[in-house]
Amino acid sequence: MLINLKRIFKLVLPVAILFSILLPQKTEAYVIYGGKWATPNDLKASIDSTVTATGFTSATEHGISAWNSSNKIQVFNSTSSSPHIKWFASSADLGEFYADTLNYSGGVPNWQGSYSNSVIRWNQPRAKNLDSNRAKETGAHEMGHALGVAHSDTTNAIMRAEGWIYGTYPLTDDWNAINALY
Amino acid sequence: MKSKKSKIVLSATSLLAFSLILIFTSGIGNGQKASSSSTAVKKNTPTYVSSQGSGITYKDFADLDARTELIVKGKKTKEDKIILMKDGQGLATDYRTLSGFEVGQVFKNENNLNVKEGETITVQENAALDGDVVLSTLGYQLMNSDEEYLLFLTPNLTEQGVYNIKGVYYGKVPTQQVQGLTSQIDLQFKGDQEDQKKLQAIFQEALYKYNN
Repeated sequence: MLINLKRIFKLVLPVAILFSILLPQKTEAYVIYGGKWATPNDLKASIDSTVTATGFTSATEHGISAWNSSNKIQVFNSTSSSPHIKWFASSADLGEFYADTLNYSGGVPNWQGSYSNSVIRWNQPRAKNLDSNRAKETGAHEMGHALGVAHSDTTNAIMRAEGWIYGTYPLTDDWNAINALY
Repeated sequence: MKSKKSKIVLSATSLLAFSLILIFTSGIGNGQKASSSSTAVKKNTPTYVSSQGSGITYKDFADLDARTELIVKGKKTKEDKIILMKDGQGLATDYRTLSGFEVGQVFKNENNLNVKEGETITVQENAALDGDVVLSTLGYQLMNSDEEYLLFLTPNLTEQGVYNIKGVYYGKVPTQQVQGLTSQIDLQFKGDQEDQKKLQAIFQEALYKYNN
């Protein structure tokens, strides 16, 4: 019985090791929070007057529409009094960051569940140093967070954790995240 | 013949089980991975919910050290002011805390900023208590009162006499270590797992240079 087990083990182990080496490796690096919008193809985004006053209108408008080439996502620039996504800008120096996003679920700050709102903030005293394309890249990146995409494990994505892709639209890894989410 | 057949069946079954274990443990199934940073973290501190975004980052300790004009060590004495602003829908648009920080030692003060040992300066912390939740920017965790920290600071660009922490959370280094784990620093950070690894390395070098 013991000899039989040993024989079986000898036969199975090399095959298993070989199989694990040859198994296709993970190619996507995107990360998602777990939460999502119930109607991603009908999201209203508003631009607060602070955005216009601080000169971030163009980058914000780009961020709003940057993901719209997906047939699953449609974000509209809206003047609705209760939009899904609100863009603000701070003229006070909030710290060493350009912009950030906080999502809400059921009116409570939360990255899980079904999103009810999202607040995107520009930190004007720091972000004003960005050139127009890096500001647009930041706008598209923040919109990605609002849609439920976290920082990617790859640098080849607009959702990269640090630095720039020197592009202004989502890349393959970003679209994979959207397709996995919605 | 029968024995050969059963060996093949057994091998195939083991192989299937092995690959299923691999798939479930490595996330190869569909390539997606839930973010650990997204959940509210609770660990001997209030529940934190953090924003995500585009921070000004530092590639390593040398980069942080070189690009910082003010490096001090000391203790947070009190929270002077909680800045918490919300819009008509109750959505937070500003969440910060201005804290008093008693400077024990000044290691670097390149621009002769008005910071002296024994005096208290105001440090802007990127988090604020909102009811029973702390709203945080990019995973910043508030300093504990009367605990010692090494701070890498830069003047706030709009409020004179206020200092910001470099890279939101990069420049706040707790000097105390995790109890029982002498080589591990208590990062006091609520952000991404990947950032935690990077911070651990940066903090270790910072402590080696300024806390020995």
